[in-house]
Amino acid sequence: MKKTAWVSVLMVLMILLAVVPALAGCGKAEETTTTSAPTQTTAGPTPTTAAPSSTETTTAQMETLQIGVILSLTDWFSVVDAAEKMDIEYVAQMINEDGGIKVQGKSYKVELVIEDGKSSLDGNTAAANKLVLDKKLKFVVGPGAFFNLATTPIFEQNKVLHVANYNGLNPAEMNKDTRYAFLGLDPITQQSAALKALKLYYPNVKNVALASEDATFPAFEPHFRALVERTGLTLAGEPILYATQAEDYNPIAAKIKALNPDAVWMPIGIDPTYFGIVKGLRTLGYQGPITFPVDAPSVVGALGDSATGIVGILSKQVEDPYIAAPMKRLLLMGDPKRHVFGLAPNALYLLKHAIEAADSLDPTVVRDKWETLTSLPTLYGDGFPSGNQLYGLPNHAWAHPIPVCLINDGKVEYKPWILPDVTP
Amino acid sequence: MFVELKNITVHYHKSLAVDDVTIEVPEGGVVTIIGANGAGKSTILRALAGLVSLTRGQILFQGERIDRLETADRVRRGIVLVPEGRQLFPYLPVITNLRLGATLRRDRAGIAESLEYVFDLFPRLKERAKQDAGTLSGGEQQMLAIARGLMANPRLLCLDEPSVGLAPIIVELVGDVIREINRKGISVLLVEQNAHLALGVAQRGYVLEVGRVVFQGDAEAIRCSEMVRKAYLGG
Amino acid sequence: MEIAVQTVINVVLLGVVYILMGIGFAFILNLLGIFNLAHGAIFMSAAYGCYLLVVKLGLPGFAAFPVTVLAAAAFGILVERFLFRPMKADFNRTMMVCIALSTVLVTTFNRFLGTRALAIPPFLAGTTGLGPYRVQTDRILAFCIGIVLLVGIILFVDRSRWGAQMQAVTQNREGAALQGIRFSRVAMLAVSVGFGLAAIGGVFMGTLYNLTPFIGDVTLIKVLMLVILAGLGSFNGIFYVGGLLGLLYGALPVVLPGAVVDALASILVLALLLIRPRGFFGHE
Repeated sequence: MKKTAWVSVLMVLMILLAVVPALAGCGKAEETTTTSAPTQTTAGPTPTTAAPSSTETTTAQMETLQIGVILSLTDWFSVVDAAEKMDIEYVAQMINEDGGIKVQGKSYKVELVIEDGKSSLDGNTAAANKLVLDKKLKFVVGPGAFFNLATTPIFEQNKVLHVANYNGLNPAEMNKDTRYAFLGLDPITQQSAALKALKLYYPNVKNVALASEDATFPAFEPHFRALVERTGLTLAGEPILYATQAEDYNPIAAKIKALNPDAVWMPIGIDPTYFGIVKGLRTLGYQGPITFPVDAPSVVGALGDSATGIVGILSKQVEDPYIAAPMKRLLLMGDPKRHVFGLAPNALYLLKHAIEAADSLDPTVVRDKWETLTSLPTLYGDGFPSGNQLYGLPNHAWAHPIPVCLINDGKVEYKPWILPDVTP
Repeated sequence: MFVELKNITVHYHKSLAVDDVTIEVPEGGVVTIIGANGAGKSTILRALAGLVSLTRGQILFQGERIDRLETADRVRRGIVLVPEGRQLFPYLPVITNLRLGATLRRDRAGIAESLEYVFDLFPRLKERAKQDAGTLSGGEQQMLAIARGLMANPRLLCLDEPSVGLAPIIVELVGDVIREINRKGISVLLVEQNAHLALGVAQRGYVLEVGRVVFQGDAEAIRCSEMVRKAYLGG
Repeated sequence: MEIAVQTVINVVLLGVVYILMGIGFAFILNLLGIFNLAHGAIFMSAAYGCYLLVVKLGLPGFAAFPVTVLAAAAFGILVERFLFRPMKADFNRTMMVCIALSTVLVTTFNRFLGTRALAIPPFLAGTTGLGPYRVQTDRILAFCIGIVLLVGIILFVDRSRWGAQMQAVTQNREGAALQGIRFSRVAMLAVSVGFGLAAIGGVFMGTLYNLTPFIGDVTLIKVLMLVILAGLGSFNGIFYVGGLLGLLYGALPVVLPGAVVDALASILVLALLLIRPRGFFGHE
């Protein structure tokens, strides 16, 4: 009798435990570091940094420009966005130290108004409404990933210029009619850099096996296939998809090895899956190069001897001799060993330079000017537009050089950053 | 006195189950408690084994108070209860059930001897030593329960309704077994509804009604008592 | 063919981890009536403990492994004495205690060691030839240790005095008390052994797979599945069903893509429960 009751309780629990992380896992893009929802290390609801009325009284020589920011500071996406919050604040500080944003001879001090998107579409809608309707802001940075689905319509209706950190390639996030939507990073260009680096350092590679986390992959698949072709490679077999919530990645590794590819490319995933697969492949005696987004010290720490033959992209380290000056400066503003995602901070950096180029605080004027620009500074060096045809908008989506390193026998060797190919 | 329950009162699930009862068991004797269902007989045995605590009164074993001891410490002193409903371990083999009876013993030779003894007493158990206890027949299960109790090397074996649900021929066998056990020098405290069986093996008896002793004396005296004849011996 | 050899090794290693976890969980559930939702956290903590001993203190793996397991077993004794026993097996209260314990452990490791994936360095480096194939020596070692452990557990449960006492308490608590079996000691033993086995599973996981503060969550789900499928109260069932789950999660990903594996495995589990609501080997 009692045990029957337990069985039902257990089943409910099981379903809960299984469903919550699964929900948390969907829509996760390549920069995410952990899988599990319940543990946020940071952040209660962090309200704005704005002090509404201090503007007129204090800094007389410098007026204030409030820029909205939407980040998910609570719940599962906070594993990315809590770090982003710290870094975007550093970038605002950096801009202010350099004299703020200069428009028509005047300097404007950047003041960020940060709203919590609460890792949900509803939360992002609320955050966007607050920034647009209550605060009447004209420029917003963020959000990242598929949360743009919720915010884009609000910004467009109110003619607010918004720069997404990056997005999930859903046309509803950005299309030919979303004329105020800009994109800090065309996500396909990161992978272009990965494949280009692979070809550069392993010229014998003719085909690659593609292994990816399965939830967000479908939106990317056609673009990745086209990218492989553009880079002059072929796919070895069909893409191998895996669930993020697995314990044992050795079966995946065995499957990849069975394709006997020249190299392995893992565009989307999280650290535990990357590491599990690399370890599995090396265990099986696979010797070809493997490319994926890395934080170089983490890879060496977790993989030890298995950390070999790795072409890593996106690792931002102060010891990298090729690091772009603004990125190095950003790293040195906090603990230089921290994991910088550098997406929202870069979007703010781009916005600053676009406003200065337009020499106006009117979002429509800025947009019109921005659409004519073919180069803008980024935290990663000179940025350029990418994906005009893909997104249906001229010069709205941007790209930049990508950090590259080679890891062999547990040692990291930094290489010159790679300029990705422009996405058509 | 060997075992003495002095003026014990026990509440069971908050209601009074045993009210100021005194029972004595002499060394080497067989004493029975008879009475109707719900008279409090089993509760007395449970109190003696330490499964329920006393509200008032004392339990003495060879003059030592044991009513505050854990069940295990009473078992160690030789007070062993073969409970109502047998309480076997149904998914363990007969042999393991028996060995568990000797949980507190460390004398390998003695345990082997006891095992031999109970197998002599119940040859059926030897045949079925590897079978799970739950697969035995009712009679065999009762034998196993008694045998398991004997494995503890008891000085006082308390038997709670050993004849319940058994065929008449097996009930007789139980009577024989009790006599045999007693012949080995083990004292027995027997709780029974079957007064014929009980009074056939016991030297002394107590009659319990609604938690109180209403009659006590030699087995013969109880058998002759008008009241007991009417109530428990069918006229 | 090579993929088949690898899959066999994967299935056995994963099966061993599940069985180690499942047996420990079942001990605690059967004897104390507690759903130890902290079991995954213990598993994770042990993996981190071993990692710290090896990487920070420089202990050789062979020394760190038993130290970790003993420490976990000792921790189990403390948990039983000071957390479980005062709750008197009350379902709601023990559930809260387990969740709290789990949260504390996960947050602690998350806080002090971060969310970065780590790994315990291999006990034995290099690879060994297995016929025409090469397999990491460490995995062969784990394979052997795993088999020895499983045999050891079977002997412990079925042949040892303590194992018999644990089963006796599971099957009839009052009957066991009447044989002089002290419940508190057996309960302490069950939690201690349960935590020790979880620690062994954790070190396996941290060495052969990955180490993050969240590895316990995924494994806990598998353990819950395992215990339900095996049938509450059953020890033997854990072995068969543990092997089955090892097969599902070790072999299915080879033939199926992505989350389909999880979905299919879950559907299979549900279907089995519909056919056998008490699990395969449950009593009553």
